[in-house]
Amino acid sequence: MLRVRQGDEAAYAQLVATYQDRLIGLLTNLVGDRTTAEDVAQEVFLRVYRARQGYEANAKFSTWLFSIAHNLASNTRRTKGRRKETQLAASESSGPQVAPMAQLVAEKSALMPSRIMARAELMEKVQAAMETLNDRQRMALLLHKFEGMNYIDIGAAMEMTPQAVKSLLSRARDQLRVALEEYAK
Amino acid sequence: MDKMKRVTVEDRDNFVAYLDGELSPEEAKSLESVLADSPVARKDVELLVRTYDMLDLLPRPQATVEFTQRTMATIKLSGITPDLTQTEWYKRLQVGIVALASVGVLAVAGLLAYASTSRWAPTDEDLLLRDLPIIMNLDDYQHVGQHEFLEKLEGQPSLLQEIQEEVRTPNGH
Repeated sequence: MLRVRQGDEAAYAQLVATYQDRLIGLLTNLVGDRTTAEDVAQEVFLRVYRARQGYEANAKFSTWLFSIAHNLASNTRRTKGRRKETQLAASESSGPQVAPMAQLVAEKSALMPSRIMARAELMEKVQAAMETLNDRQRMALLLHKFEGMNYIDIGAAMEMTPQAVKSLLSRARDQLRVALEEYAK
Repeated sequence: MDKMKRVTVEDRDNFVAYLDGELSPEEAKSLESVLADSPVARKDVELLVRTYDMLDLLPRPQATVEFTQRTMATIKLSGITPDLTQTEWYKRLQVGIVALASVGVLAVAGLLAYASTSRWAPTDEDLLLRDLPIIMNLDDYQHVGQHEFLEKLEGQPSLLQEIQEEVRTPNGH
């Protein structure tokens, strides 16, 4: 990132390549679909590049990146929510398509069809349970699960104290437990 | 008897942090003893683990092949220039401008203060000027003498009349 600060575009392309999958994976589960996630991810990278001069060498790049991603994802969800309200009819066909079934099937081709089906259904239940969480709970949970971030880093990315992250995650996980208890056999 | 041990709200709040390894050693030890004594708590913790593991089912799509290129092309196309407000020299410039403005305000205030004191606070010369008419007629005033004498004179109309007549006919009789 220090090279990027000096205007090294090749270095930035390298950074984008390093973080793009992690960011898109996270954003897909935050905004609901992959296409929107890619758009938001691109905007995140644009903003990071634009603000490169403000990057402090002692700050963790991933924390900074996910902090921007969190804000943009929240805005996108709010905008999508408003759009959904006004386009009720259209929403049915283009609703959250977080589950790219073909991809999942391809990945799990070694499994029996019935098991694939069961897995897909289970995934939908998990997605539905995630939808019951608020934006902050979802973000904290994904940062912890996908990125393996500790409470301090999550707090830095979400502008919260570690103590606040602790109670946020406690409530989120408890909510998840209640929603998924019957499937967690 | 131990199996009936109640789990407090605080213990429950610590379950997740315990699983995440975010409790202090003392807190973890205390919670472990609670878990050892409470099958209900153990079941809850187990469910927390299992439901958390279910998040592995969530999709984690990868970026499309052209994502990096597209992003870099967008950066070039939009001619993104760095946000100047984030640069070090901009921040220094801001501090400089504020300092300069403060000095300016202080200078103006000083000038105003000087102007107002020289305008309204009287100097020795102002006092002399103010008293100039008195100074110029000081001799006459000294000739008049005391006020008491003039007041007495006013109280004796016959004497006053005599003086007036004398003034009218200075050569008298």
